[in-house]
Amino acid sequence: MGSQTTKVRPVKPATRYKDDVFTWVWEQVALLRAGRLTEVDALNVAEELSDVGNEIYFRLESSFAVLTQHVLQWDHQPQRRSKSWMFSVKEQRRRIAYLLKKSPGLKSEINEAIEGGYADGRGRAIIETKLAESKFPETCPYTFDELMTRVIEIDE
Amino acid sequence: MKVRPAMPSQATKSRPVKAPTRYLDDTYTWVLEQIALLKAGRRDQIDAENIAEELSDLGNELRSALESAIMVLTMHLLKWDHQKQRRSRSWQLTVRVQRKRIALLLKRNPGLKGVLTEAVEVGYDRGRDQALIEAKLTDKDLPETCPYTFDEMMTRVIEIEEPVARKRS
Repeated sequence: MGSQTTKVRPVKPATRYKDDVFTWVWEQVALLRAGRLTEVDALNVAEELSDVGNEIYFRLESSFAVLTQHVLQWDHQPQRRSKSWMFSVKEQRRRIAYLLKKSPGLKSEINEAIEGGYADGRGRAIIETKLAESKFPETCPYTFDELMTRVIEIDE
Repeated sequence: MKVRPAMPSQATKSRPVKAPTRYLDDTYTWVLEQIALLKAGRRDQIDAENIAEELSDLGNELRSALESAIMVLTMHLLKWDHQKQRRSRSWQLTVRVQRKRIALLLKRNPGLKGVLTEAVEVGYDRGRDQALIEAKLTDKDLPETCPYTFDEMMTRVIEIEEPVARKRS
């Protein structure tokens, strides 16, 4: 393996990203695996990687959306506290912890992700609780630590 | 879906990336660093193996999207042919939606035509399973291999007969 003969033949003319993403992908994969890095379509590969990064970020943000929604509901409708909310909080905490473990660099985005997620979570909490908007602060009232560690459990 | 304006500033910086982050240690930071290298034209320093892996995921996703559309389409064609009494406008519209999805995927990715036969096999196999579940048919009611050609799948007229207006007496 690795000899000249196993290398991919020159791709000519290389498929353009916008003409055929599928073919473009496999051509780029072949170039990368063959170590023919100077021929790699750097800008479009960078674009694709941005999507990967953004997806990781949005997973974090949407976990915060669900988490803050349920913590808000927990605090504003104590009479409706349920196991379902409790498990949801637990599940989102688990997901957030996992994302941060896989990508410690995401920690630098936490404040932005909480704010972004909170905007969604607040909106959903308003709809779900049918309480006045003014009841819910416009910026997230919880710190990251609070969101992740506060005891959220129903009394048996 | 929300659109995030751009990756953080790190992504566009072209300063040397010291001690590159390993994919396994921190995927997010790895992504930012690789983008920076690519944009700075420093292709010789990229983590080619892991980028190839990430791109493969994209290629496989496109293929799965095609297979899923074929699955839903064949499932409805099977139901259409084997449960004539249940034909509905909803099935008719589902067929139309899936045909459009398939056509669009093939238009944007002409290279998918090269894996079409396999995608039909895989998609049909899953569509047949779904039809068995939903239509409560038995295994022997439905052919094991796809009875439709691709052309048939995409162009056959699938329309419910509109109820005939009652004649006035």
